[in-house]
Amino acid sequence: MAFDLELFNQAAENLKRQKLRSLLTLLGIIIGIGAVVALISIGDGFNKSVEKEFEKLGSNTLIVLPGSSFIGSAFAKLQESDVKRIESVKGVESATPIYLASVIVSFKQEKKSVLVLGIDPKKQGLLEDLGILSISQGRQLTSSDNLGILVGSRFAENQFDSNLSVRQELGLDSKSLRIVGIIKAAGQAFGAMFDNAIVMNYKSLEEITGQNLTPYRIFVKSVNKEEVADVKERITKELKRAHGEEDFQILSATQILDSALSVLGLIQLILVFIAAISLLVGGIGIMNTMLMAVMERTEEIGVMKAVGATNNLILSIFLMESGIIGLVGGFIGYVIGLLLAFLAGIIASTAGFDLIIGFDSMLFFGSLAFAFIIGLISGFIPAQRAAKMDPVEALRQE
Amino acid sequence: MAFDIIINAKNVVKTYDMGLVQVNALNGVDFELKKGEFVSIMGPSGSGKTTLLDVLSVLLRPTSGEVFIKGKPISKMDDNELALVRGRTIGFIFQTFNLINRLTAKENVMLPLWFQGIPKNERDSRAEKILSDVGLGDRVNHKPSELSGGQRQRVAIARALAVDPEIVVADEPTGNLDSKSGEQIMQIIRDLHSKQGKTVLMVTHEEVLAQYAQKIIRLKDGKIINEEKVNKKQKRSVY
Repeated sequence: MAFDLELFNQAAENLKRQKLRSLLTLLGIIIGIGAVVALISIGDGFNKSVEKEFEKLGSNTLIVLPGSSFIGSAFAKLQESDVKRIESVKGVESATPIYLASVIVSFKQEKKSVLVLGIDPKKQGLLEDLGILSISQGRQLTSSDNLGILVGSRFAENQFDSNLSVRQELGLDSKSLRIVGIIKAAGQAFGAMFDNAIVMNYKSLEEITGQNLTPYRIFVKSVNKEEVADVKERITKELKRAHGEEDFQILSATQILDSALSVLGLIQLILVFIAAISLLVGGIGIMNTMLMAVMERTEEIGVMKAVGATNNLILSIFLMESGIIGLVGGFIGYVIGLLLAFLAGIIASTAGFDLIIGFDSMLFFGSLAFAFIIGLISGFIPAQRAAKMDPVEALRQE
Repeated sequence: MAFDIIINAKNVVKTYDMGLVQVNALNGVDFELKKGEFVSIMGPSGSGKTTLLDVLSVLLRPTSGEVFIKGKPISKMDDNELALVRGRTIGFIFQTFNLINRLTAKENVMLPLWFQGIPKNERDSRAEKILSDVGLGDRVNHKPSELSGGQRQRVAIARALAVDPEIVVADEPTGNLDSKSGEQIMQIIRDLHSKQGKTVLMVTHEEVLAQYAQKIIRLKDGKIINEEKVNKKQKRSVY
């Protein structure tokens, strides 16, 4: 139509005349779109961060854990000999076990039960390669550090009333554990377990606990990325042969990533759905406003029809108005939603979590289109009522 | 010539459903409006004169019977077509002016031109010219609330003339005006007929105003009871 732009101008003028009402109506859509955009942006940012973290971990990493599933891990055990067995598999560059125990340590007046991860100091380089055991202060463990320990960054900050620092000592029975280094915050994924724990030589850990520990995890690095799937299969075969059954699980980084992302995706979907309900309410708000506008402008509609406005034109005028409310609400909602997401990113980053928030053109245009359509749908019934109005009745009404 | 008759009503009945009772506002009316005529419709209130005007100006579809506009039966047109034909052929002047209050005089006049799809700049210049023709050249950008009753009715006349329609329909055009502006408005309407050759159809309940026309139709109980020619000699200024 030739006068689409005029229709737009006319509709915009009508809305401007009822500023407060238009604003209040907008609010419903703004809140709805804002919430949806914020949640999607934060969720996507989270996904991207997780993906990035996993990239760091490397796609040539495999992790072996006991038990055929997460649930069954209580009874099945990995053996120290499994590490040698894995290293002998073709395509494996290196493998290292991690042990887990809990001990009671004291610092100043406090006594706490804490998690201790035992590692092989000679294989620290491998864990560092995987991006999960970098040192921020002090130094790494050496083979001679019997009672030297590393502490995770969160552990150092939160575990005791006062912060821990390098060269301080934690009491353990009659012995004392000396902090030689603090682990850099890994933030997420596998690094998280190191953030909240003490790390020490696994041999010393066995001595202290008096237990014969079995590997909690075995980290494996393959020679190259392309072969990861084959290497995984070969390790499975080798361990199955040795154990007589498949009482273990091998995860690849991509596999963990996929399952983590699918859980995140589901949570995000639920949240977005809840936010979308407010959009429905916003739509009802538009409908209400438009019904009022049609009622108020009954005489005007009658005049316009008398002087030659077609039903279609009247319909278009009112649809345009509700569409503009949707569009403007969508735009403002998008901006606010993105700002909220950025704010969440800032808050997350102060908590040591790197949330990647950015402009996404798909989301932008999607929000606009969606809000516009909500406007049109909500405005349809009122607009149709206006279009079908009898000009004579409309003109003569008081 | 078929087109000599611009509007033709045949056995028009208009029934209003008032819940339990049905009221016949028009009860079998036949009427012809010829090109260039000036016709007044008179009758006591409730006689159906406004309904007849609405039907003849194709604002209202009859319950039965047929109305032809330039030979075309309106029952064959849908509402959209009818609106376009109405906008092109008929200019309305209402008793209560029915201007859109939030638009300026010029914007009001431009409205029917918009509906006919005339480009903006042309609408603009046409509206300004017509407004100055009715003596409101200096009130172009005033809102109706800033104008007197007579001025408002002149804006309404300008709006009616904007598309240069063949017919001007006036429903008690001076009903809401003082006598002085009423007279001015009647002068304009008379000039529309005599100088511009417009066909004029006017509803009034004042005998003196009806005398401006060439022909007076009298209505009672939804029927035409009398149709008389106005003796030119009788015509005089009424106020």
